[in-house]
Amino acid sequence: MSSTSALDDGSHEPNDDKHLTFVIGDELYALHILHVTEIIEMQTVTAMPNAPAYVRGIINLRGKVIPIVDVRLCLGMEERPYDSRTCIIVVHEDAPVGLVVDTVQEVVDIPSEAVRAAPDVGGEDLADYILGIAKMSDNAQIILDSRRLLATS
Amino acid sequence: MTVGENEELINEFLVEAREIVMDVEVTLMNLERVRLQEGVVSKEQLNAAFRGFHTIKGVSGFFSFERMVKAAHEAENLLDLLRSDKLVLVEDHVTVLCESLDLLTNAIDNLEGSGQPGLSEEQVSALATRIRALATNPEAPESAEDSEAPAPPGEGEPSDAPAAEPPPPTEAPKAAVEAAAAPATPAPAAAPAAPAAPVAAPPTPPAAAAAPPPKTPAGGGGSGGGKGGGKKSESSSDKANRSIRVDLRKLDQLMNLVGELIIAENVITHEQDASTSEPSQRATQQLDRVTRSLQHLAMSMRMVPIRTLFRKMVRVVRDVARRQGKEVRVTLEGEDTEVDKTVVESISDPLMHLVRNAVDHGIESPDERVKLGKDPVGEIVLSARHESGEVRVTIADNGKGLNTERIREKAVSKGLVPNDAVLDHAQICDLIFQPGFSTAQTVTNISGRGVGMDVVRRNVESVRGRVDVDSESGAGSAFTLRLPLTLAIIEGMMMRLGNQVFTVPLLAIRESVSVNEYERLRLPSGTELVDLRGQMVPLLPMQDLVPYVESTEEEEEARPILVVIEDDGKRAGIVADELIGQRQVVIKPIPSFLAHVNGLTGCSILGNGEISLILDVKHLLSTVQVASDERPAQGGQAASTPTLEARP
Repeated sequence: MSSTSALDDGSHEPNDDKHLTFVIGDELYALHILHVTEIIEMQTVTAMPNAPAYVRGIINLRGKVIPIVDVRLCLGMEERPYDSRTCIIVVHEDAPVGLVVDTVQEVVDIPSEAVRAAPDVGGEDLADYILGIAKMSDNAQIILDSRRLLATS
Repeated sequence: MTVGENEELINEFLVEAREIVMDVEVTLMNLERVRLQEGVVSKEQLNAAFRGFHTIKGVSGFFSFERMVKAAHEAENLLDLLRSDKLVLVEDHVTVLCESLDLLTNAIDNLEGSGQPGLSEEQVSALATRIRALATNPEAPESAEDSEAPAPPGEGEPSDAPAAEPPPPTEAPKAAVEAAAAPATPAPAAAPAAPAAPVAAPPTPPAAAAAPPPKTPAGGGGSGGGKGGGKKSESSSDKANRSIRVDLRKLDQLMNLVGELIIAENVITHEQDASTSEPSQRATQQLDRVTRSLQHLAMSMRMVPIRTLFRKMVRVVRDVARRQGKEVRVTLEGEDTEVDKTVVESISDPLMHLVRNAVDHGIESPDERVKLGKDPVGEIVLSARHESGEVRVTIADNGKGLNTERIREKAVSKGLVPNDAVLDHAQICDLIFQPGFSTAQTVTNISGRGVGMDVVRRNVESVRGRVDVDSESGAGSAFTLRLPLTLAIIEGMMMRLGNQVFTVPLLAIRESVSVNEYERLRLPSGTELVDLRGQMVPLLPMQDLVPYVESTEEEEEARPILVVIEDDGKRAGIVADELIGQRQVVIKPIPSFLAHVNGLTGCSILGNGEISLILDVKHLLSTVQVASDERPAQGGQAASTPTLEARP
């Protein structure tokens, strides 16, 4: 599964509604595909001294040094050992950043009308990263804002 | 001529004009130095300066930049009087000629920015008036006209750049011969000689060029004999032929790509084993060689001699000294020392500041100097040299030196050090670099734009350099800038700690010893020390460097190697599992997302693709050092932290 470009997936029609879904814990999350550059398998991460805990460190991605952020820790969830299904989603905000997630699922269309605003969860920081919640078929997806996720964390 | 062509021509002109202005400035400084020291005025140098202005005049005329023409023309007239002995060179002449150069530089800057010289009529007339006032010789105006008259016929036509360029000495005879053999097509090189010939009779050097056999070397000497002048004009014409200008960003990109290539090449070399076929092995060796040559080449392309920067300083010294009625001689050493372009740029301001300070605060007035039994002419030595893998630039003066008493008082009054602090000479001198140590009291319009010494230090540190001061009261001060050769690559020692490889700049490593040569002790505060042959050295805590790696105390204790790092007299130890070896590593910046992380200067990619973090020794030592720095501030010896003043 190394280096599967998420953008190759699907047809050439506009990607407006396309989202990449991934699992953390029991919940399904989504990121807009425009932000995603690629998905790579878990790598040896060089730990950074003096960095916040959610920053796992840096990796060498074909000669580029990119930071790796554990989304679990970002969202304040419990740490969990990495396994063969653990993936790094490389997103490009101002610069590439790798997001560690439990498992990557698929690319799906989430039409904007299916997205509902995130409920106020009462002073939780969580709401900051959440663009909205989409109810597709039988399961709900939490749509994350990668920029804010990285900026606030 | 199309607009594009014109633009290109102007750009060429600008580059050339800048070079000429700089050369002429150097020539003028030399002139003055020689005049002060030996009491003679060098004809060759006057000629060289004259030719410089003349060339600028010619080309400016070509583009119809009338005011530039006028500014250059006035200077040229003055020089003509000087070189034909109608006027004796005095200091004011040099000053006013420098002013013309400033005006021209101004115009060049403006041309580069807005495409217009942007000189005002007033500026130019004011300059002209000043110059004419100095040409006090009664014959002056007339003879100025005289010299103007013959100039156009001789040089009018080929007045674009190359024509007016002085002939390199070796070519002078040939040019003269050519001119003789083919009179129909006058060789441009011989042109400058033409107008001079009728005017000045026998001894004037340019005339000799027309008479080839015996006197040619002397004639060529007009450009070739002068110490700096001849060599310079030769090299600048060489330069014009053999070099092209390249955008610095492209060089940066090239350096980056070479860095990536080295990494990829390392991987390939790593993968080689006995099973690899022989041709493949050979090719790999070849790849290795080529990559390394390429790396050196790419690095050398970014290197420029420090000369240009130094020469700017000569002018700075002169201006400041004049304004203060001081006399200062500048000696340059090691002008050819090559330094990374970025490094040169980033030390330009600090150096200027230090040089101004040296004249302003260092050198005493001539009267005072005589009273002190010193030579009334102060001396500033600017030197550059390569030493142990770095470049050292020193600014030394023989002035009054730092007043340690006053510095101390001031630091105490500013609350930088407690009243009862015990400081040695070096520590007191170092106080002037402290951020709070404002030089407001002493900042004049001369000592810079209100930049304090702390900014000087910060600027230098931003290119991984450092600045030190050494001063002896009454005998002068010396500031030394220690700079890296290049910013892209460092010589590093790689070591393994737990499962990670770290790189420590080789220069920061004092020694590394094996485990049985030191003993560890743990203080109640948790700080660990090692007893290294009787000296107590603090240990950097492991978990600070390698988070997430839990190591038991036994494992900790068992780490077999102690690496002692040192900076500025401060020391600390790192215990490592293994020393991997010394290597040149290409520095990659830490991603900006993590730029706030302290203690690292960057990272590099290892042959196997892993990342090695490059430790910021200075920062790491400062974290260890906090305790001892605070101790005097708290006013007592109470602190239990060890004396980290591990000065040798």
